[in-house]
Amino acid sequence: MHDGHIVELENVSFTYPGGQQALSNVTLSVVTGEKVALVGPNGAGKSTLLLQLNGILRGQGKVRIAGLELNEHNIRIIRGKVGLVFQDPDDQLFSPTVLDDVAFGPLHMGLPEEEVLARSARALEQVQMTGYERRIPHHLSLGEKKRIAIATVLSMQPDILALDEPSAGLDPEARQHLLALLKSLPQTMLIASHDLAFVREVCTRIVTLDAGRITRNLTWTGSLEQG
Amino acid sequence: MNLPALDPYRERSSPIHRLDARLKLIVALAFIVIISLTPPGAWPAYLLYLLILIAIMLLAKVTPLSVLARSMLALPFALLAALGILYVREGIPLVTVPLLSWRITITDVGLLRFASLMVKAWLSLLVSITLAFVTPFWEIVRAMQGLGVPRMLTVVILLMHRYLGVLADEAQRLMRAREARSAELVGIKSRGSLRWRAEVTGRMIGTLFLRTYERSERVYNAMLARGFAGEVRTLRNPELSARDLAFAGLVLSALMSVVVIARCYW
Repeated sequence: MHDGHIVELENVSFTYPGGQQALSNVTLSVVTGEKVALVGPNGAGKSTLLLQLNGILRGQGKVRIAGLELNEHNIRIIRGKVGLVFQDPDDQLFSPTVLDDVAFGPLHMGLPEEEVLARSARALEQVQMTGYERRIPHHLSLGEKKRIAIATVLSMQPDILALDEPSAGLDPEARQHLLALLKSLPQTMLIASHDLAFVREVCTRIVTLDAGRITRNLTWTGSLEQG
Repeated sequence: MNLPALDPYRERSSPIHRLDARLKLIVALAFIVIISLTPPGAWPAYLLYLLILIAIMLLAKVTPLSVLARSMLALPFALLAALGILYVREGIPLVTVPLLSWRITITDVGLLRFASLMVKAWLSLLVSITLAFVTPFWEIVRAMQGLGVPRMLTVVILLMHRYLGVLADEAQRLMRAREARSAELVGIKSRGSLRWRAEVTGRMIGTLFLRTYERSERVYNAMLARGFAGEVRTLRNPELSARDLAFAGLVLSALMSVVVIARCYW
């Protein structure tokens, strides 16, 4: 790792099997603890970029997470470091109960069961969802589902959180709740969003993407400065 | 449409709800086997089974009437399966009914077997419905896994149960979108031909299939992102407590004694 950069993308390009170029020559570095917003129109490549971070999608170029270069050998170690929260919590919450879902990550990291349960309890506490362990995802509100989706990656204790449209579809109260939660978490974050007011509260840097390219990279310190 | 709302399970605090799901499943299966082993015409035994079952329902704070109401939905299927039994040659003929070109004679033995089978089928239904009332669906499937059903199978059942409601909602949204645009101008009949409507429905099914396929990709990605590498791991089932074992043993021995007495004396 150089200069405390926890996420480093170097000339990353990605083309979907259909031939649609989603990312072209994206270079981006994120410092430990930084909270970066990815904004841009629909189809700009925000979600595709997030999926590169832990190798769900892999294109050309280099991806380094905490100094480790993403390759076949260490892909699962990197997946433990990058907690990916999908836009639709119904995609993220696939287990029969909330506890099963929060425990899924740590269980598949091979941790002993006591540790898995302790981490799950802690993660649910962090998103203020203690007591929901036996609940069925279908019976939860969208706001609750979003918070539990975040807990499912917090239980893996990742260094980086990559969130896709976290505030989409939430009512003002649930949105406020989520805002407070994200501000309180210490992890490095990359947040893809259309909700500028939301990312302005959480993030310290705004990266704009258009047609798969980074068009602007601005530091937010009350007003926007070219960074 | 809230499909999981069809699930009769309601969270309650009762000794039956707290019982380990594996034991509940074993007792329910054993109950059904014991019912089927009871000889035809052993009416006192059937009554005893019903009383034991009602005692369990009351212990679980489940209204027996609500279980009864659900059993009526499935009873016609049992009736259909049992009809063949009516036709046996043994015994004293009671009535003869003409059926197309045949004449079917119903004997007292046939009638007794038919009535017994109906009662036994109904009792078995009550047992399974009671199980569904006191155990969440996922716990029943987990219990199956704990009793040796292959994990691949239980995981598929659980995923199906998880996404049934999501897919039903998606289908409903498609149908609403069609309804909303099925307009008509005053004085112009525009119902469309049957063929045209069939095509629209066909395309909707295709759309639903595509969306399901895309969702499965996203769910798989979500699993990969959290360290899934081909082998599904689940939390261990808790140890069986001595109290649970004792309770299950008690119920099973009561049922066993009824069937033994029924086979020897009635």
